[in-house]
Order: sequence, then structure tokens, then C-alpha cells
Amino acid sequence: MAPDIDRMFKFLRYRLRDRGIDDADLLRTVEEAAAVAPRLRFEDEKDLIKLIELQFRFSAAQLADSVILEALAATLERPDWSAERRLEFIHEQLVNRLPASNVD
Amino acid sequence: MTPDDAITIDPSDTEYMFKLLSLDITRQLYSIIGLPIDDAARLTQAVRDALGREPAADSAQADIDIVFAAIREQVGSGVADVVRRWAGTAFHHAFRAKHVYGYWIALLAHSRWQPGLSHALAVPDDRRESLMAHFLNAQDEESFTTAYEAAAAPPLSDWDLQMRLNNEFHDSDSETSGPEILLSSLASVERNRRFWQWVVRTLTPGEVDALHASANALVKRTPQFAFIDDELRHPAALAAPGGRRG
Repeated sequence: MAPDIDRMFKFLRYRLRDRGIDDADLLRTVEEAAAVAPRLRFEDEKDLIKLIELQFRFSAAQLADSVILEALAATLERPDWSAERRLEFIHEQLVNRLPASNVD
Repeated sequence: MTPDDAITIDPSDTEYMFKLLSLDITRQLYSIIGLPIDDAARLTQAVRDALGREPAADSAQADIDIVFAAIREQVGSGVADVVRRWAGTAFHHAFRAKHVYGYWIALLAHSRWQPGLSHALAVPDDRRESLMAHFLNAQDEESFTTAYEAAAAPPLSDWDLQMRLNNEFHDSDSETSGPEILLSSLASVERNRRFWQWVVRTLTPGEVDALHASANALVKRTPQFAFIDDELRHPAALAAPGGRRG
């Protein structure tokens, strides 16, 4: 069943209400995530919501760090890991990872 | 002591072994996996440098030689010898020949709960309880678990992260994707090696031989040990393995 974009948008708008995220940006992010969800094997809407939430936890500096970006891409593409496992890995290993510019 | 050049290393295992040695997680656990290396950081770097080179076109043995050459060059011949010895003993036992320590573990574990088995093992009565206590202590994985959790705590180093994402240590039986299972096995081999060192120090050579002979006899006549299809290794060999002869 295709993800309900409107439902996800409203849920995430509430969850992320203190982040100052623009509604249009959030909606675009939800739509893009829904579009790639089948390819990434995120079939459960709850997992997709968690993935979108995780994206907003990365700072601009982290998203500019090639190690973090490549690890994020590689994790999402892992064919042998479930959605839950990939989310867990991103949460454990990447969300709080310091970008190289912060490391001495 | 077996000369180091007599210690053979299975070429099919070496790439895996060197990838394990390249990890920052592993580096933090050297003491509990039986690798007495002081300059762990330099060893790790030497292995990484060698892994980054073009593989040899002709043979797996040539690839092994490349890594050992890098270790000798960057860390010294002494460390290369230690790693070679460890590869042919601890790593081999943990990765390919778990039964060497495993058969004894099964026998002693069963004997704990079956007095008939226990009394059939030739252990002096005044040291029977102590031997079992030392054996049980060697099976306790808590020290490894604690050390591993600390070593593997997020965030992984860049190198370890890449190795994890490359799926280098995926274990299909357990769905584990890190090196934990192999490191746990190595830690177990080391704990049991130290147990057998205690046995060999505590019993006289004659008592050790008697224990060995009685254990093999017990295995042969006891149906529950039918799975033990080889002679039990002598305790002296388990205490200080000298590697396999090529």
C-alpha cells in the first residue's frame, strides 16, 4: 500500500514542530521519501516516518561530510538489512557522528 | 617452542584474519584475544596499509607475505613473529578448529553435573574442585562482553564503519554483521588456553598424562560423547599451542 503522504506530513509536522521546519520543505521531503520508499524497501509507513525524522537530525555540517554521506547511502542500499536494522544503524552510528571538520 | 617458520597459516583464512586485525575494535581487545602486542596502533596501521595495496596476482600466499612484510617493516620482526604464531594457533582454533578446545569443554561441562563422569577423570581429589572452578571461570563470557561493548560503542571509527558497511564480518547464522562472534571465539580460546596453563602448572606431568588418558578412554566408552570423533588434544598442547606443522 502506498504511503499516505498527507497523513505522514501532518504527523511529522507535529513531531517536528519545535524545529522551525518550513511546511513546504517538509512536504517536499515527505513526497521525495515516499517516491523512493519502494526502491529502498521501506514498506511500512512507520519506518518511513522514522527515516524522515532521522534525516532532520543531521546537521548541515554532517550532510557535507563525505564519510557520513557515503555511510548513509551505503546503509540505505544494504540489500540484506531490514528497514528496521538500517534505521537502527543510522541512529546508532551516524546521527551523532562528528563530521571530519570537528575532529582534530 | 615450535620455530615460527614451521607455523603454517591457512591462506584461505588470512584475508579475513587481517581484516579483523585492521579494526579499531579488535585493537582494543588484543590482551583478551591472546595477542600480546604493545604497539597495537602501529600494527593496525601496517595491516591497513598492506590491505590497501594491490593483491598479488599469483597466489594467496603472496598476499600473506605482503602483509607480513608490511608488519616487519613498520612494527618489527618480533611483532611479525607474534602475529604469525597467533595466526597459526589462536586464530586457527577460533575460526577453523573450535573442536580442539571444544571437545574438552563439552567433556568437562558434562562432568560437572554427572559425578560418574567426573570421577572417571583422573584428577587428584584435592584439586578436583579447584580444577572445576578454574574451568568454569574460563567459560564465563562476561569479561569479553563488557570489553566488547566498550570497544564497539558508537561511533565506530571511519575504518571500522567502512568495514561494517562492506559486510566483511557478516555471519549468516546469527545475522550479526560485526566481528563480535569471531572475537568472542578468540576470547574463549584464550581463556581456555590460560585454564590449561593453570592445569599444567598445578598438576605434575604424570598427573596431566593420566588426566589426558582417562579423558580419551571416557570419551571412547561413553555414547553421549559419540560426536567427539578425534583424540582429545594433550593439555600441554592446549596450554601453549605451537601451531600446525606444514
